[in-house]
Amino acid sequence: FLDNAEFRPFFKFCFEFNREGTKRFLERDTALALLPLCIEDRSKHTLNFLEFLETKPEDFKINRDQWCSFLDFSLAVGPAPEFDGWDSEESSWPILIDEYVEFVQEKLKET
Amino acid sequence: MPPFCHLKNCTGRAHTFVQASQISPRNAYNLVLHKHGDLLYTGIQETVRTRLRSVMEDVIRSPDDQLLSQVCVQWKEHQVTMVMVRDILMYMDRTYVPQSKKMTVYDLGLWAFRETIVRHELVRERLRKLLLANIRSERLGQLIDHNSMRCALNMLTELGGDGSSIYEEDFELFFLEDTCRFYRCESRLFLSEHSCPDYLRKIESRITEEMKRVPNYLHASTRPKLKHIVEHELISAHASTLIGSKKIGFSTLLKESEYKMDDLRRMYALFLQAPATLDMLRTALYEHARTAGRLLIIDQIKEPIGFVRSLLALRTKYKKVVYIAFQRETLAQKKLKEAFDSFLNADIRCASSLVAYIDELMRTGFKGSTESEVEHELDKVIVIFRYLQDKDIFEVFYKQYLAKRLLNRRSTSSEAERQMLAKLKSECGYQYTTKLEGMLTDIRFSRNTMEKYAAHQDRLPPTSEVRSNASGSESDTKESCDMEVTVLTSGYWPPQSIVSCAIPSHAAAAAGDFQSFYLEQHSGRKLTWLTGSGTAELKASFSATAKHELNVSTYQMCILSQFNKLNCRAELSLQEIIDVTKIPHIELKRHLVSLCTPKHRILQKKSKGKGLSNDDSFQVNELFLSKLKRIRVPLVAMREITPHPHQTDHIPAAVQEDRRHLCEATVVRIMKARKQAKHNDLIAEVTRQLNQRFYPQPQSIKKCIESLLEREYLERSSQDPRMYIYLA
Repeated sequence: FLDNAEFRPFFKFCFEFNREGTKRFLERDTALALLPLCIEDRSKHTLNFLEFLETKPEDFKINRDQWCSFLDFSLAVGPAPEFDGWDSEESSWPILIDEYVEFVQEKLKET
Repeated sequence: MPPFCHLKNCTGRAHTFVQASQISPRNAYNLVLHKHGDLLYTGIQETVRTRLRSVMEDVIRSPDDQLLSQVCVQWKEHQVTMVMVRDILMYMDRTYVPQSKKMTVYDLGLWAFRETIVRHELVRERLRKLLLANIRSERLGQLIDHNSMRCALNMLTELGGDGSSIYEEDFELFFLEDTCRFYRCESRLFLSEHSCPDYLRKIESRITEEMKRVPNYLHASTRPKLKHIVEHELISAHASTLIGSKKIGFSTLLKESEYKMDDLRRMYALFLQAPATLDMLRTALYEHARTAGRLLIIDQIKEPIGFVRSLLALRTKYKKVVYIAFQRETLAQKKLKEAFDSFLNADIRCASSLVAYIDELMRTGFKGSTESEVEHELDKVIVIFRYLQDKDIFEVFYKQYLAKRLLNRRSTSSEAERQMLAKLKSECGYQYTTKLEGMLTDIRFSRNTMEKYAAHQDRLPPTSEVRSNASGSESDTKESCDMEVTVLTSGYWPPQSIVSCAIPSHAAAAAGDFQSFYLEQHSGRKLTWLTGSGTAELKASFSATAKHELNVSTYQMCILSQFNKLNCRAELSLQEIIDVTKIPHIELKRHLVSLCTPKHRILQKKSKGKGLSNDDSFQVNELFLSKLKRIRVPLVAMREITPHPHQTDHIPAAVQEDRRHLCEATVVRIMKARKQAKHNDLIAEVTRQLNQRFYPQPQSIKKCIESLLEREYLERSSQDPRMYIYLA
């Protein structure tokens, strides 16, 4: 319903709305539930990323930068296994995203 | 035949020829003038050819051993003849020849000589083979006639022209091939049977020999081609064998560089002539130094002082190789530095070893040294320091050791301490050494303060000063004791624990006096007594005769003075001691046990064995004996004590914390100045700014950036997620 340029603020708003009070993060479980709702099918990484998030401990928190970067990342970088556009050497993505990519690559290596 | 005779004969024969052909300058002139130049020309052409044809008959019949000299003789004669002819026909050369675009007379002669004789099928190859055979003989050690060689080769050179080089086609090409084959074979054979240094000597002489061949008889143009082949076959082709061979190759030479410097020098000089091989040599040097360094670490790092000494020796050794063998070459120096950089920074214990080494110097090594000796030693230390990448780790360790030295008065010379700091300052800037210098200043100020305090006390009415007494006398109210105080500025020194204990009253009184004096001078400051450090001197009377002076720690003083209030035989339990002295449990055990060791059994403990039990109790050991009047009671080492800073091989937590702060501050500073920056540029600039102090891993910088993003110092640009924007 919105093109990508207009979607970005909406996606950010999803984060803002669901955080508690002045806290700057979302709890892991909140993110797990919220992400697929917000992002719908705009990202080819959603399933993998949710799987990745589940490996994190329960008290894991996701901050605004990581949340918004997920959208930007989905728009810029192609799906697994190639991850076209992701540069491991000079990645400026949040470390969480780097960990996510490595997680998927490891997973694919094992299968 | 002597050359002069030769020439006379030549000239004589030439004369005869000319006369026989009935040419004279006058005739020639007339002919040309009357447009009969072509007659003249054809005539002389024919004459020359005829003459040469008969010469050829002689030449081809010469046996091999005379062919060369025959050719030379004929050539000389021909030259002389043609010169004469040319002189006679000079008018024709200047007028008819250019007009009709024909060869000059002399050139005509050359051409004829070439075609008729030199290129004759029975001469050409034979001559060449002879020339090459001569060269080969000479290479195998025989003497040959240089004159005839030179003559023949000059001849070939002269006979060239109009695009073709006879010298090259008929001789040089084959010569070079031959040379190539010869040396390929010889070098392979020699190398398989001899060691590398011997081989180097051999090729050195071979190269000299070949180069001499050029002025001796070869044409100058052959020189570069010859050089190239010789270098290639002798050096380049075998470079990797020479470097890696077990039969005393480069690596072995390096190992024994003290004795093999000449060989190393020769090797470098030879490889210098084939520059492509030099890189291999440098890389081998790098590998060797790096491996040696790594082994040294594995071998000796547990003994820091020995390690640093060996390290210095290792560096001297390789420096010598670079200076003498490699002729101080910049690239080799660079490689050496890279090697040392790599192994010294692979292990953090190198930094702490260096600190331990300096500690040893300051404590004992510098006793009796002159100022220049001290300077020299410290310069060596700085040389190693320069290689260290993580200079902040060095600083942390240095601070710890320095603090111990200063507080325990272990430093031989405060001048040496100052010199060291001065050198560190000039390496790293003044910020690096402010805290360390602050520590030195604290010590100096404390001494001044003590002087002032002593003066102040002298002016006060006398108080009865009684030293503390171990076997219980009751006179300890309102009495003071002598005290020497060192005041430390808390920001400069390594963190000390500030848990205080209950100190005996006379000590407390002295402390109180000093404190009021000090705070009067410096109001607004706060003094905290560090009872975990410090020493006390106690006069102990175990019996009527056994009186000693005990040098103990502050805690031990607290423990022992508890016994003053009781009778001689009284016991104190561990719990009671804890309760009264309020010394932290672990420390208490340590200091208490130290008073019960077999060597220094000042207290008798009830439990047997080394350790303490929880319900242990103690009494004064009346039977204490010692030959010494003044006894220093050492502290026992504890197993649970944190490992000696030297032995850890990961980065101290304090340093990691420090780095994080520095990194964040740097990021903020850069972003504030630039307002926005791309990720890569930011990482590069942060690295550049921090590099002096330590090497920041890009991942760590990224973590700092993310932390700042979260705290909203920065944000990502909405147009480009790789761009960060500074938020004011």
